[in-house]
Amino acid sequence: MRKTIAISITTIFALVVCIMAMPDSYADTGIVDTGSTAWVAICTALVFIMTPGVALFYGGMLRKQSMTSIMAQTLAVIAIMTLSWFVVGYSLAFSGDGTIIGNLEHVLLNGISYDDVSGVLPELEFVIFQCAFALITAGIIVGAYAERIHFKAVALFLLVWSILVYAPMAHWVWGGGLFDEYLTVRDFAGGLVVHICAATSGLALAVFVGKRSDRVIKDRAHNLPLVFIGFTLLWIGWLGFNGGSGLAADGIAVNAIVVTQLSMASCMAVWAIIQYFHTGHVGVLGLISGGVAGLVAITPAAGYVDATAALVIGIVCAPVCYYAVYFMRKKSGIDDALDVFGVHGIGGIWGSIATGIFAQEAMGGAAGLIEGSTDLFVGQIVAAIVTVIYCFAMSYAIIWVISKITPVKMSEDEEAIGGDIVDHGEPSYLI
Amino acid sequence: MKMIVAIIRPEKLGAVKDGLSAAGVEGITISDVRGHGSQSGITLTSRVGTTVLDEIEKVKIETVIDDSIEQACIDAIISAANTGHFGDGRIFVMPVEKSIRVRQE
Repeated sequence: MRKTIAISITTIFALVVCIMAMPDSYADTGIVDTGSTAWVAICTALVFIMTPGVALFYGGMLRKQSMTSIMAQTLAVIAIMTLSWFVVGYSLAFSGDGTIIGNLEHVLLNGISYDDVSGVLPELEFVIFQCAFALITAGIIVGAYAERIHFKAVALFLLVWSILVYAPMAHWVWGGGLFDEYLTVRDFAGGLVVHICAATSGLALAVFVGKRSDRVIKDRAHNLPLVFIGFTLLWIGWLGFNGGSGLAADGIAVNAIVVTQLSMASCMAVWAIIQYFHTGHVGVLGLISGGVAGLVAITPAAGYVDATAALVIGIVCAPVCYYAVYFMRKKSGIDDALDVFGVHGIGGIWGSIATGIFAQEAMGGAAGLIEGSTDLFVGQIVAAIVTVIYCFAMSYAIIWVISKITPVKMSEDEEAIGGDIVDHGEPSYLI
Repeated sequence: MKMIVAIIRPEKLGAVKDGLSAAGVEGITISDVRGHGSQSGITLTSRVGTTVLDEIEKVKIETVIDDSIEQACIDAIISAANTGHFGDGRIFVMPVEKSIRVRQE
């Protein structure tokens, strides 16, 4: 009898110890969570499909003489950014705790084996998930300077840009660098790293090469259904883009998907209303631009805000981006061919500021203005300004140096014929 | 009655249409075409040599007009489509025997 009681007490004690020793969250367990691994693997695939989606989305909006050119540049993005990411990019962004840049510890994934764990995921999965983000960021740039820059210059630019612009940006925001050290900054899925960075880099290239010649017919999408398919891939991909950025299959991931969809829909609807009153009709390109702008705006906030905030973010995003696009096209004198700065740049800046307003401490560990803290709000604005200045200046410098090595801008004749034939000898369509 | 066939740069189509309307043209037919003129196309140089692009995209405009506005139409097309570079295009004028409307009154 006494022996039984002793065993029982020992068993209960052991159970209590076990329960007390159990972690209160997934973090820092060093154990891979299979559900989260599966979810992030799916999200990785979803984010990868956004890059070819961008090719269809952009290519359809240009002349038919530029379709091959956009597809080739997007494929170059896929090849160059992937190689650069695995060789040095990941290491520069996510290893070491330098302020400006990481170190070369993980060059060529040195020291990362299949059973290493990061959070609740295999570290290799984190590497490939982040690789997909590097790809889509570079893919977005292509639209700003479309139809003017030779393919060879684009390829060289991407190679240098991936190391000098993308890796530091990812390090500053996600890898424990500059912004993490000195500011309170929250960027859930890449408002700063992906959208503001891509848009200002694209803007720098568009400013550097100047406008397209008058011999290029502009503002007429050659194939609207392609734009539609491209948008569909972007939208579905975006659910993985935001949904996977919590790096776990949990409530935050579901919340991110819900707010992403809400922001997209509200921005699309309001954009359509503005366009109706401004131009007298609602167009497919307008609806799609509104949808993309809403997706961009919610990206930095997706893990930190609730559904009501997402509605406000989407609704406010529509007039802000609509008039930004209008200004860029009619007043700025800059030929941002596919409204990359108006939609991704301004949308990303609004999303970053909105994160500083609506963020909930319970979700992301930092309180926004509504919860009475100004730290995050100020941090978001400073981070956005630094991102704009750094990405613009560095991209401009890179393309300036490349222009000393190889021709960057096409001649007027070459622009009129189109990059498909001039650079690739491979027209997308036989008339 | 004359038929005017003009081959012009695609990007000049809008300006040419406006010019023709101002000159009094009512009906117009527009087609996308490709070909080359007396320069025999454009020579492109790449790493492995040169290629001649002899199918350059152009727009063809056809219109049948009254003799009285023939010169006005020619002037309108030239002033709208001229850039001074190779490849600005050609204008052909030919006589028309009959012009019959399909919809009968």
